[in-house]
Amino acid sequence: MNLSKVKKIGLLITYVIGVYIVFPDSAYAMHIMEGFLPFNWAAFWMVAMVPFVILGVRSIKKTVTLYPNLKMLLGMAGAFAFVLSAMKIPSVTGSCSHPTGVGLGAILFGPTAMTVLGMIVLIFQAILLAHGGLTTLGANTFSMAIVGPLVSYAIYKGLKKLGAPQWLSIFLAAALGDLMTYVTTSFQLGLAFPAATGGVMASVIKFMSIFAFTQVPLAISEGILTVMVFNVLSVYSQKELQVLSVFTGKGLPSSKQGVKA
Amino acid sequence: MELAVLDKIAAADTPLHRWDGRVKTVLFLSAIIVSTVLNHWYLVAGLWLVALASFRTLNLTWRHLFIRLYIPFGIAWLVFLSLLFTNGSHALFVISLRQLNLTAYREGLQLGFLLVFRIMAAVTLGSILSFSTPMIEILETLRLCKVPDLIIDLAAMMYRYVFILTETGHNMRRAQLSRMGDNTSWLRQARDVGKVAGYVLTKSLERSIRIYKAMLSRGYNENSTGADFFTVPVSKTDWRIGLLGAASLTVLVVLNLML
Repeated sequence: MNLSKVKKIGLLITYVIGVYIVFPDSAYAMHIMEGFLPFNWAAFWMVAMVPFVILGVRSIKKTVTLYPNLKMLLGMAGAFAFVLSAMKIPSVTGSCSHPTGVGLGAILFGPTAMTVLGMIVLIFQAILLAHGGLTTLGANTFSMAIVGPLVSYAIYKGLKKLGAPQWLSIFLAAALGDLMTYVTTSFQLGLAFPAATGGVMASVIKFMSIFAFTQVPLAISEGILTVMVFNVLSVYSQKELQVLSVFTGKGLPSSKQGVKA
Repeated sequence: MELAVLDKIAAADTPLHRWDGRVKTVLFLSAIIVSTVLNHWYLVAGLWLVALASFRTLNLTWRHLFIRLYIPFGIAWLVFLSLLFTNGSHALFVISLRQLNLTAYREGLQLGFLLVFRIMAAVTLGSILSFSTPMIEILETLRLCKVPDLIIDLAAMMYRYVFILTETGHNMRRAQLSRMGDNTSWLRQARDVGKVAGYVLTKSLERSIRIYKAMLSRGYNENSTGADFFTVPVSKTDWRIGLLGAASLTVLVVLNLML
């Protein structure tokens, strides 16, 4: 092995150890922090986010016009998403992490409504907690409130159509939606900071390999958490689930189907 | 930091707190954007120093700012190190670790400083804004800046209930831990947290229905419009300070282009 390869591997190991030392709360690493993206990339992701937010606003407006009481429910649900993201869940690595709520939100409210709710949650996190940022709001919204929910929702619906058990559909939707958020973040970082040798893809792979250490266990934890939440909802909140199904159409779990985990 | 504490801090009485929320929000948000536009590390460092000086006028301890900065700084120094040793062609110094030679580059040092100061400056500016301005003022300023009403209404409702739900969630989790402990397997712990999250969601849904009924009983309907939040025009002094800030930011951008 030549010296430059040893140097690169050494740096990567140091970096991963550093990430572990500095970030026991690995979900914080998911948000691209304030000031990290160059202006052109920050602006690009902001522009890319806009059409999805417009779609989300239109979809919510349509639903709220038909069912005015749901506006209050959405506000409450958004607050819940913020609270959920501040809750610690045990990670399989032994440390603690914070759920993103991407899968849960997408299944309950649908991907378009989740785009708006997710963006507001990200604004609050940036202003109130200094997690993520206002200049990186576009990039973070794109990964966490657009790609993540879309993937979660597609997996959930797809698996349900295929006749998969309810718990498996929810688990995979939440876990893979969570993972896709990090994959998208890796692409965003790779595009903004291409490697000197290997370009964008080399950089994307580097970021993905770093995220993989922390985010795969976190995605599994979040998948289990989401199944648990649905379990509670399907047992105790049938009426509320019926109300929520307005956002997504039919297809939320009923108590008869049950969600075992 | 507890969110409720942040709300109290934002309602304190200092010159920065008394400054009009509209001007302050627009200026600080512009300053955050400017911090990402600047390409010279010393200009961004200058902006950060000004932000730190502004923070001192809030009469808060440095601990408040440190709590906000330590996580971003944790990433920032790692980014700095990786850039220092991997970016550039003009060697500054070499660190020899047995077989391994780490070369630090001048370009990497400059880019590293730029990113670290950008992150620190932007987070500090955002923190000062949230420490000195109630969230509702920030949201209403965004409404004036033509952010859709639906987003602002939802955000205002969310903000209203964040504190209540946070407290409910914490209390439930504390009660759960006091009865069952926290020494079980991670699967069991995940199940317990999941139950708390589920119950909090159930409670929030019930509460939203109760609140809506209460609003209807008070005469609310979908055509109801709230009163304007800002009733007093921006004072001349606040305008002047705002213009001074805007001019300083413009000078920074011009300097960045000239240097």
